[in-house]
Amino acid sequence: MADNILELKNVNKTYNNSVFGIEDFNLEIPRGAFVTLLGPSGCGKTTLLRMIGGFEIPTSGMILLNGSDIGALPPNKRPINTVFQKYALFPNMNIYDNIAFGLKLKKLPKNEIDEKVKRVLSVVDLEGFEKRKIDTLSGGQQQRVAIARAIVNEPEILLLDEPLGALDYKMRQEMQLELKRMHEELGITFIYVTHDQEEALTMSDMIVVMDDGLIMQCGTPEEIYNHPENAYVADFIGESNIFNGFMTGEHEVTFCGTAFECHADFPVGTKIDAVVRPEDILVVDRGYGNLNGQVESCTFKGSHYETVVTSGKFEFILWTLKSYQKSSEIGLLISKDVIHVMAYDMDKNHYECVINDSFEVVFEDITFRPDITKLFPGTKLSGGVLVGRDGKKLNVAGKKCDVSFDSSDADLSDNPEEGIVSGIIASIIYKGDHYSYTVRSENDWDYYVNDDWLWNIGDRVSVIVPEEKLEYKVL
Amino acid sequence: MELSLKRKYLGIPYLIFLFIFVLLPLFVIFYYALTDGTGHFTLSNFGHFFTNSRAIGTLIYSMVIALITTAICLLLAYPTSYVLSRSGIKGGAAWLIIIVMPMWINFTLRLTALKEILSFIEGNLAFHPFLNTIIGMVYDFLPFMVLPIYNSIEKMDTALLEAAEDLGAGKREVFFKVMLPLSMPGIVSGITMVFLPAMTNYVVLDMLYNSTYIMGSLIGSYFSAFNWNDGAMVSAVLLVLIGLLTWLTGRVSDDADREGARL
Repeated sequence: MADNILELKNVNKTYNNSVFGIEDFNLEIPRGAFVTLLGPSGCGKTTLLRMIGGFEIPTSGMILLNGSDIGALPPNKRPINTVFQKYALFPNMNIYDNIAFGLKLKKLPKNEIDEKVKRVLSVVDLEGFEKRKIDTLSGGQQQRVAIARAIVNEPEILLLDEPLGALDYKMRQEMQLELKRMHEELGITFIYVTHDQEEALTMSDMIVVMDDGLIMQCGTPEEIYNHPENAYVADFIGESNIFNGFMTGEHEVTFCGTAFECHADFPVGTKIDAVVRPEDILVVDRGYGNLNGQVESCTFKGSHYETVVTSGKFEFILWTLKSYQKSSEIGLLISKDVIHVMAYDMDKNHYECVINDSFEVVFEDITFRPDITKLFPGTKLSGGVLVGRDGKKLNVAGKKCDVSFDSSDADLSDNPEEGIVSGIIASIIYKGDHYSYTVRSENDWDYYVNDDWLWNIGDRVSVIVPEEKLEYKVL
Repeated sequence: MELSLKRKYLGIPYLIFLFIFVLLPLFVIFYYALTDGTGHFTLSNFGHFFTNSRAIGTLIYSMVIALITTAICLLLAYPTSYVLSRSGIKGGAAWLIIIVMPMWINFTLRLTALKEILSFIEGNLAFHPFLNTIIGMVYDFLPFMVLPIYNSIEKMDTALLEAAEDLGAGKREVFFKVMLPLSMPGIVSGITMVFLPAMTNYVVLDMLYNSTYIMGSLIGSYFSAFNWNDGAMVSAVLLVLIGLLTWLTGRVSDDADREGARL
């Protein structure tokens, strides 16, 4: 068994009994690792960190530190220290007093405190700053003091809550390397929270990609980047071209109307998402690649050109070293090694519903009104009562029923009354010729919709599904 | 340039007001305080004040009442503000309004009501004059202590309290080492707003103590005996004293503000 310093077991955190904060969360953190919780704001990463720090108590589940549950301990009883987002340095104390705060509480002798403060100041490169006031420091220096104040207590785990968010770009890059150096030097387990994928890729031993309180993928930076497990991760980490397609043979996948060789071996006919990174597509002469295309635009980005190529109705983004003339005809070569194939998980929407007294099929968000006699073949409605083949009254209330529809059959509208349900667009993934949307309703249910039009994250939309495209199945 | 000149003219009415009702009376007070009955310069009025045991006694008595009032207000206001701003009770702001609301009612009206209530409870106000005075003062000044303290606790960054806890501080240590020092600006401005007015407030004493043992009526008694010079000297001493106190608390709160600004 691996040596895990921290284990989260079935951790749940709910707020006001409504929307889930964290849902059945399981994670193992190896001793001494630099682990990053990565996700957009509101994905639950900060809540998770606060539970590890002791500022929030999990609704249920266990947080095991070295095998014993610390879930209910207050922060001051945990061998864990935190570097806060806005540093949270005490403004009424100088740097020495800030750093010595924890040591003084432990009632260490003065000379020992002096020595530790001195040593930790040298770790963060602020020798001789003891007597300075907090407000005479720059953001980066305050950051270092915050780190020093935390690590001087020699915690078993250091928690960092977006500590570089307030710094400028150059400073941030410097601090990333600095933090990595400190991690190696101190040998403490770091748990780092950020929404910045570059930070995560640069520093981490292990990245946990989160969305909506769930783990989307957990792995090394290389695994996350090169082998994303789903379109969400592929889209969130780095730039990518993602296309819908399906398996058409052993180690053969078809997308954009073209068959490609690939390493994946899902059964023939499986719907998939294919991911190709923009730096992995090669430009060749027309006719020599897998596809032919036309250059739409070519933009200089410093280290490369971002070239947009259309092939039929599909759009590719390429990072090229050369610039290409707009409208020039080129070939695109996509080799077996750079195609990453993932099982497609946003194909169909399934909802488990209950039939009520008035023959409606009810889900938390929606009430469907199917022709009830079609659900139970051979029955008919007479005088508001469902009658079976044998002429007897049939009681169907409370029976469960699965309602489903294809993502591609649904449409979006900005008129909230128009569709079967309304919600907020929670994610967008571009699929070359259409967008794949996740619409999240007020009750926190997700609806997958493929739409040709571009909406924005946060737009309030309603999901339109034509009556005839809804499929009902009595369970 | 032209505009700024025109704007300056807008200040003229106030300037006239300032001159007639503030500067001129001040000048008159100091003139009388530093002259004898014939208009010659003298410091003897000053000597009169400090050799008059009744005048000194009244001064000290006013200070004691103001001190006790301030202390009780502080002891009541801090926990109240803490609960309202930090405990997450429902409608904290509404509770604050209820506490502050007496300020919207006329001052003497409020005291008259309090007087009725107290005499109903105690039978006769004369039984506990000192207690009544303190109750009246605290009742009057409490909102001025609650508001600044509430604000300073309210705007405090919760992360600072969490940081203290994170570094190993228990609830008591969080309070004494972080929360209390950081709410100092609020405490200082609360003290300023209660102590100084309490020093010179004579309405409360007048209504609840039925006594002339106060600075205001001391001055009045000199004036009604046409002793303008001694009366003016008492006013002048009081003025200088309050000026001094204002300056002192101002300095302390400046320091505290500078700390508070970094919150």
